[in-house]
Amino acid sequence: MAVGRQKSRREIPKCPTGVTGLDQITQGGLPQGRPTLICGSAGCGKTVLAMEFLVRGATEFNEPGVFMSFEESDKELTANVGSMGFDLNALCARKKLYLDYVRVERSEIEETGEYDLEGLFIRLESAIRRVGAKRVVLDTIESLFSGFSNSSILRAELRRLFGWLKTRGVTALITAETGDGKLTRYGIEEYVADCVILLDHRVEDQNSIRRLRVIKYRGTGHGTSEYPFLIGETGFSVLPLSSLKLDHHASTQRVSSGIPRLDAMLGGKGFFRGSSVLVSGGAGTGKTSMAAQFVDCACRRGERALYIASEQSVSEILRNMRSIGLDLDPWIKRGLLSFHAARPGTFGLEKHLITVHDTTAAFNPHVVVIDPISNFESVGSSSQVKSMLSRLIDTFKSRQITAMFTSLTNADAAPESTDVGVSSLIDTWLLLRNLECNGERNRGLYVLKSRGMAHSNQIREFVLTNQGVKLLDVYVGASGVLTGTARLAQEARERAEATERKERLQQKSAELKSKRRELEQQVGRLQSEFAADQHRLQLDMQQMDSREKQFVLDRVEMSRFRHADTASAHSNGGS
Amino acid sequence: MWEGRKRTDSWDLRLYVADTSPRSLLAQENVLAFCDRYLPGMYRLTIIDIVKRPASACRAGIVATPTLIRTFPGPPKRLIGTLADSERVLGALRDCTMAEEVTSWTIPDHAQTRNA
Repeated sequence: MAVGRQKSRREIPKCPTGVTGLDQITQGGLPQGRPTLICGSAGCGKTVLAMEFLVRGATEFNEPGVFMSFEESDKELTANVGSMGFDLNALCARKKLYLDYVRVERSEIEETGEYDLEGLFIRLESAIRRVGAKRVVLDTIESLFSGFSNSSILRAELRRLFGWLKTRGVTALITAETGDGKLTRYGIEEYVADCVILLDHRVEDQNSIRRLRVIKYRGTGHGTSEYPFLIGETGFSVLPLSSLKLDHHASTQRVSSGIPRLDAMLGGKGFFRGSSVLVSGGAGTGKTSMAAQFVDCACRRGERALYIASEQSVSEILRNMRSIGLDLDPWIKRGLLSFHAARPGTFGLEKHLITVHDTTAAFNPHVVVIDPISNFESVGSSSQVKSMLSRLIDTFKSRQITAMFTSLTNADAAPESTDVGVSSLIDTWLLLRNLECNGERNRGLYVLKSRGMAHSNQIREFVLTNQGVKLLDVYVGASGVLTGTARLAQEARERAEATERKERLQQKSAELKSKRRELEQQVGRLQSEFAADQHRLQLDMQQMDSREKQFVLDRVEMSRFRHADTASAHSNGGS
Repeated sequence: MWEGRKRTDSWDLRLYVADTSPRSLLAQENVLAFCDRYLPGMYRLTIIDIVKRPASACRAGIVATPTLIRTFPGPPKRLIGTLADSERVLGALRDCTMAEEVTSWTIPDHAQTRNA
């Protein structure tokens, strides 16, 4: 029947808030020209969000705004949001913002008959006209209920007000406090039905968590989960995980790890740019040293590096790295290396996430190290930490930052399990192990996995020398991997064996020479014998020959004689 | 503007109304009746239309209309509504620093202010 029906997905017009993350959750912003309700308990951040909506509207989207406050005076507001870098005085002076404080004090008011709230309308209208406002905030409109006792009049007037705001075409933000089990104390969510956002602030496991949820948004799709948010130094920040798509560009550029032999193990060139690297190992295996060497190498290349330390102070790290020949001070002075040290327990996970996010955005590094990530477990459950880390990794990948994380694994646990289960998010995993043999422990490193490249499967011995981290070959003897002094012993043994073999070879060659000489002599002797024999034989033959000749001559002679004799016998009278 | 005889201690009353709605007219009637009854010649009443003069409404912090503000004598009083509830009006305005000077603060039986 509806053959010609067009599938037109027309989104309702939206008003971008400019608040980090909120526009992503709402897929564009708040409904344009309609009122939105922000509810939450006291201290949730409603006023901050509302103010940021106006300030960003004025500064980023060229939409002036009116802030009608029923609770705080202009001075209080200006002072309170000044710490977030919102200069309200300047904005008011430039006619981009107008603050109107409406004071309603029940004790000062006597109700003596029917009334309406036309005064409010007039004030709002004049304020809007004053700056040409496109955005309006009413904070907190429920204060009217505590000021005036006739709630039926109030409700009627509020309904009229929201209708009026819609016809006026301004995008309005209304704040209200949550009641017991209800969205708002006086039920004004019935009148503001287009978009409702709930802010929540709770304490879980001694950590305070702020969450935001879009309960309802008519006419559009929106993120429906609870998203953690933070009120930081730059205002409101919402960091939704689901909005960060898996569409990172995969670079084919390679980044050195700082240890040439390790690069050789990783397909010959090192890590991919923009990949995530995990260096895990037990205590004292040298993770921080590896991370420091990685950073040192990056700075040498002229790239900026950000080092986030969650366990040691900056000076501790610098001192410790100097002992292995890594001086990171010059890089700090040249502005290529920036440290950020804070224990996880100081803030909640979201604060860490947003701090890292903001620091990364401000410093714009090519390489980031977080050392270690395993102690973030103390401020959140494994799933929360994993979620935070995946958001961090997403942030880094989208900026093509190569990130290295170190993680401490329990001595008892299998080395391939990490406390936070982030191995699936990691592209390259280097495992540092303590190899115990012959009464000593040495460090070994191997590449557990490295996506996208051929990598070595050898365990390499890993030493911290005065020139930094070096990788050596590891001998696999009859009893397994040999490291440390066992390796040295093995090397000595092999050298000795090599010398022995060489000597034997020399000896054999000498023997061969003498044998040859002997044989040659023998041959010479035989030859001379042979020559002598030959000579004798020749002589014999000559003799025989001559004797034979003589014999023949004799015979001839004799026969001649005989012939002669015969002739004479005949003559003698034959006898 | 209605003006009673100007005295240095005249009551200063300001009535803020929104245009000429029935409520505004009612409030005006009621306030005049009150003033004539209890403050003859001792008051100065100003009626301000906030639609025409929004700036003065903002300055005075007007939210509801009609609003009657007494600025003199102290303490300052703010009455909202049509002023039909004469008891409350009386009760509120009786609280002042010049109560003794005003004649008979009671409501006589025959003179009732108009209700609507």
